[in-house]
Amino acid sequence: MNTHWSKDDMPPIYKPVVWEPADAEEAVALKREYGADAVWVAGGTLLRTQWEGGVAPMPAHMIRLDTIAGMRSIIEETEYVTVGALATLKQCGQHAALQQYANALYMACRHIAAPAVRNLATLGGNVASAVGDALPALLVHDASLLWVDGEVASLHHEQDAVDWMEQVRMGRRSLQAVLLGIRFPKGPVEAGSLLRSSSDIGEETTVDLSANAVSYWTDEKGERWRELCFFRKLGRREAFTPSLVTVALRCWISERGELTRVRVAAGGGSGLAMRLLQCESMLEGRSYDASWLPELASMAAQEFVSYSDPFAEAPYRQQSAGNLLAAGVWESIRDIEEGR
Amino acid sequence: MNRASMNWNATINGKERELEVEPSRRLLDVLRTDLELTGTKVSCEIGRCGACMVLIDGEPVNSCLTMAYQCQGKDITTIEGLHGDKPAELHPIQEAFLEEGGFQCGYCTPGMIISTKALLDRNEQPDEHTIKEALCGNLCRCTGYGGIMRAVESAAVKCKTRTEEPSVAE
Ligand SMILES: Cc1cc2nc3c(=O)[nH]c(=O)nc-3n(C[C@H](O)[C@H](O)[C@H](O)COP(=O)(O)OP(=O)(O)OC[C@H]3O[C@@H](n4cnc5c(N)ncnc54)[C@H](O)[C@@H]3O)c2cc1C
Ligand code: FES
Ligand code: FES
Repeated sequence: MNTHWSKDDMPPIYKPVVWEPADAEEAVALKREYGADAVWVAGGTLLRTQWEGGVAPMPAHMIRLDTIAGMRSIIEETEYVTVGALATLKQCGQHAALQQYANALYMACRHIAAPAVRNLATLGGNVASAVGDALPALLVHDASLLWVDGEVASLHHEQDAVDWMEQVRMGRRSLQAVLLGIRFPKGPVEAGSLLRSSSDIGEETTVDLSANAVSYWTDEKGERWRELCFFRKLGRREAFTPSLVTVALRCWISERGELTRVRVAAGGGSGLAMRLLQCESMLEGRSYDASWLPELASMAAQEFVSYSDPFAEAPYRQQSAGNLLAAGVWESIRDIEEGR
Repeated sequence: MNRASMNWNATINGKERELEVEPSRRLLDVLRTDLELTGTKVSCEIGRCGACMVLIDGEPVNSCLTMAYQCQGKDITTIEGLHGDKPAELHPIQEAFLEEGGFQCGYCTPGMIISTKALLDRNEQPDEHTIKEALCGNLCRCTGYGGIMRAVESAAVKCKTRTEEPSVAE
């Protein structure tokens, strides 16, 4: 028998019940109650593509997250910037504190989707999807994720973004966790703590604000270090394109050209973002010299774990990631030399 | 609290509208089916083509991605809401698209014009890069974009001239 459904007499699953929790705890409780029949909805942009594309069915229960107070704000504190998970990509791509202190993330948000999509899409949705283009940027900014998690006794907890990506990779991510926000240290970080409060640096460390949104800090010997930070996205066309590869790099460069606190990450497409630790240790303590850029490119290509799909083979993505990183370093150094 | 249906209201093209809808109903369907405002076009239905673009509180948004609850109580402008000094006259952006050959089949045009309106409302003299960025979510399968670029540049001049001209009443 052929059944034709008109939009108005479709089965109930196409007419989801929409829940409006007042806080994250209620959102977690609703998810626990309805399980796989329920989804949390932030901007709904990724979910819509999944529903329309048949990747996931429209759920019987939608749990709104935008009814939870305070999840849209971006708050700058002395040592950290905290972005509410419901802050839109547009908000993030226009925010002065992110431009200054989390520039790779700021740039990532300006290159995801198109302006109209960015008006709805949230940073939290991008991160929680586990494949968002913002993720490599989060990794180089030493971001941590603030959760309300039904699988953790204390409910509220803060987790290193690197650890969370590892859980995702192992298939062990909590399905009961609402992301409340994303937190970034403003200054350089060493062994998990801010350099500002680290004893080897002492009181002299400063992060200066400058007009062109470049951060500096001065070490205990009085040497000045400048931030070098970039995000690059490669797609199949110039603008408004899903990514094939995304890379991000952040480090600090002294007046002598020495690099320190190097963070390198790659991701893109439906692959999982990862820190490139071998590349980081290759660069740590080295003085910049254009002659080692090919070595960086090939090391990144070897280290980056990627995948093949009908659009691009894994080796292409890996080689592109390496080339994007090497070109990004070269361009950033050129900009510094030219006084930009 | 939960809802299986809602009393939805919004200001559409300056008029208050009220409807009983499912909260997850797409704005696209509310406009085209419930309110018969078919100037807003439908094509990809996944936010990629821009044919369904509308302004919500002055910001461009894809109506195929927006659910009714997300635009509850908002100010929505569709292509039907654009006009010149008098309701029967064309908006300067519409004039520019006509004069510069900014369309061929015309299917992408309502979305292009809405995105252009959003751009020119906040930037009177956008450069080429800014225009491309503002319209990158609108796809056209006919024109090759040359006419559209000319139309937006011309629309910018027209809109600026009209705001600078003293009105007849003054
Ligand atoms: C046309 C188009 C182009 C796109 N281009 C890009 C692109 O270039 N790069 C890119 O990375 N993405 C892209 N996307 C995907 C998507 O828009 C972004 O990833 C966006 O940031 C997702 O945010 P959202 O608020 O819409 O998430 P939603 O769709 O609401 O949610 C996404 C997922 O995250 C979960 N979720 C959302 N918020 C939370 C939270 N706070 N806590 C726990 N779980 C949560 C949801 O349950 C869902 O599983 C594109 C989408 C469209 C429609
Ligand atoms: S129909 Fe909405 S963007 Fe294509
Ligand atoms: S004029 Fe035909 S799609 Fe643009």
